Amino acid sequence: MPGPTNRKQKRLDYRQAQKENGTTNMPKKKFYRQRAHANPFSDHRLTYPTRPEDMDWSTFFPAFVADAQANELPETTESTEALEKLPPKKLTKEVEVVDIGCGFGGLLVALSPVMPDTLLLGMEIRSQVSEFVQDRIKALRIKDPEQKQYQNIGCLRANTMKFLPNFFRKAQLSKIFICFPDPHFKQRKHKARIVSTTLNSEYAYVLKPGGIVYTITDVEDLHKWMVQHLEAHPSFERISEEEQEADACVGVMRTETEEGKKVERNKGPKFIALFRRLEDPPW
Amino acid sequence: MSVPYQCLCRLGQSSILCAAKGTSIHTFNLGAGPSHISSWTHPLTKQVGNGNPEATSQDQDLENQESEQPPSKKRRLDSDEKPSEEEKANQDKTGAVEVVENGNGKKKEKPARRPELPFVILLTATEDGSHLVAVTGQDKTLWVFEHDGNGVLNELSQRVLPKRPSSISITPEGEGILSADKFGDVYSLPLLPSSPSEAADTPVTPSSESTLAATAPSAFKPSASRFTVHSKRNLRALEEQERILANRKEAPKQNPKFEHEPVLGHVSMLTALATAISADGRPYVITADRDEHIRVSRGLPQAHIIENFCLGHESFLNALCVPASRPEILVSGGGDDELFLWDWKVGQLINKVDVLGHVKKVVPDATKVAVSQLYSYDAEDRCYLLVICELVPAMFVFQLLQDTLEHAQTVNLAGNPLDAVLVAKTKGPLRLVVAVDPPRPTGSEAEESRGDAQSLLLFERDDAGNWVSSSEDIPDVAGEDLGLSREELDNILYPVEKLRKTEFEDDVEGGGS
Repeated sequence: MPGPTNRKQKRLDYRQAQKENGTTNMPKKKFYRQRAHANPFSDHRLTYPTRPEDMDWSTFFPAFVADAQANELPETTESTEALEKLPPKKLTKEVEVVDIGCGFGGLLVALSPVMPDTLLLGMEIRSQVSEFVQDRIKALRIKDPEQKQYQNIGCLRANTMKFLPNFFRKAQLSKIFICFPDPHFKQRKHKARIVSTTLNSEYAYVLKPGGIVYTITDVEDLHKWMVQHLEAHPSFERISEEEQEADACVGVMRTETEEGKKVERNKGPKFIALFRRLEDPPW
Repeated sequence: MSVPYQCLCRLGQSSILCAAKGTSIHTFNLGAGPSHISSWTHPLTKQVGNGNPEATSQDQDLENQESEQPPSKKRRLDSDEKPSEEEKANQDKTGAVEVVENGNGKKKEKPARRPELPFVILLTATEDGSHLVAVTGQDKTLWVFEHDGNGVLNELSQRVLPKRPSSISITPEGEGILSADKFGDVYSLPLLPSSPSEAADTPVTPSSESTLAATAPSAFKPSASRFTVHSKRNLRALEEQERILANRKEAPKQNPKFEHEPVLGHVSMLTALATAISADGRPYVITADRDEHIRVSRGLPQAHIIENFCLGHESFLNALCVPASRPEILVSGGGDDELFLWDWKVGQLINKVDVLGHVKKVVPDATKVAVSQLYSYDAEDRCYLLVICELVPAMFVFQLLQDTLEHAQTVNLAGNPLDAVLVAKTKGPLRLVVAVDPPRPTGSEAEESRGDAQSLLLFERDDAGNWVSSSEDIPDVAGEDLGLSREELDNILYPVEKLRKTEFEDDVEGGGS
């Protein structure tokens, strides 16, 4: 049985090889495994922008970088401090769809051709897993002969429960996906659930009125919990079943996430609920 | 070791000062020749002090309240002080548990770090000074007192909150309390518990509790099902869970019985809370957390709507201040070297003003700042800001100009300031009371010099508008000896710098396990 150091070494070797041959091969999951749970309350070594304006999206969506306008200036200013303070490169459009807890990125990859003109971002708290998705996207982009596909998806490591407003300004998003979230069965851990009355306020903040929260889980209790908490929130209303089934994203969400496929194999149930962000009442 | 005053509050526009020292609250009249009026002491401490037999029943009540709390988090224990079974049962108790034992003569060796004493950590009064709200930290209890107008406090209620409050505010109407806690949530409570029978101090006898448990159906059911577990091990765990459940009658955990509505929440420790009124007269709640966020939410009943965030801090936040005469401005501070000035209504940063530079003039080798308190006051139509930084023996006064803060004075102090409050003599000039932690000599000297150092300092403004020591003294009240070591006391008095992030969960690993 390989010891932990052995496994670690193999992983390092693999990653190194991936880098060197230009990541033309699809990454293998076994080199990116990480325990399924991360504590959202602890301090991770995360990188996140202080404000949404400070976020440099250009490395995530290079195909959407706005034409080099004022961005060419840095050569003239010499001090590195000045360099750091330069505004990040602008994109031609903003991220509009977010998959919170995107896992290995199945939904992103499947949604990419469905919404080719929209920028989709996966956010994942586990560093190994987010790296896998980044490598997967890189490989997919290279594999496409015309270099056009999968340019609209990206993934970054983040603790969205704490730092969502650092990435997106008010009313920036039109869709948020919450797929097969950690159920946190213990009552003591309910605050760690990704849907809660207080967190829903943050989802409402980053969503534009009319925007949609998509939820799917195989745990019936969690489904009830999410429905109860989102329905109870005055900024959201549940979307009817007909409208839900007519939504193209729902089918993709049901079949294309890794977790969804696993549930499929086990012939388990899947519970889906969609919620619309309402206009704020006058104040 | 006697303890310094750590929390101050003024009762309305009167010249009555409330000052908390350890687990006690004292009131003083600063009107004509400062005088001590009355005292209140936390029942747990009082009990040790005078062996009051009545206190036993109070303690009983408190224990019962504890049992009504939602499941509390396990106390983190150092390996060298693993609790005995008995202590485990009392896990969330206070130093009181220990103290009670001592009182009964069951003296035992104290572990290196004892549970913290229920120090008063927050004091705030209604605008009219008719009520005082105090929070004792260790036991998470919120106390409300009625003030008779002459400095005598009458304890009205005590409520044990789900988590330790870190900041409280009384709503502008004076009818509600907003309490922000270490868990990231803000609760709204009525100032006075709605019905006395519902108040937390209703004794719940063990028998009534057990009948409740017997009648209430066990609500717990494993949320996992055979569909949701995919590994053999998890399946085994689920079977085990089901087996245990079949043999157990579980008493459902209860929330505190008094009225307390969750208002909003962060997934981060809340460190400060402020209320503000916009130019168009709408109320807002401003909350700050350890993860550098300042959130501006609408006031009740629309507190679920976030108006914006004031983002720009790069270290933890700890203090917020909306000056009464400049209600459009928010000043924030914490672990950053600067204070930030915001137009909070739109979430726009107006300016950053350096503090570290001023701190260095007092503590030359300082490399970082932990702002612990921010207060504003008006004098001669100017708006000033008073800044206290943790473990810096000085106070910094800034004048708030149109869009910046201008350093006006550094008031050097004999010890580290813990809190400050402005008190106006009736029709008289403004005066400033500062609670300091006097420097303590070590060793045998400590015993001799005890009680000499003043903890409450009084300042007056001179002609140039600078703060100078007043000729009057605030009489000291014999402090209870809480038997704390310097280290234990420091742990309680200086919690701010500890908010800084230094340890990170090492997540480079995490694979394969």
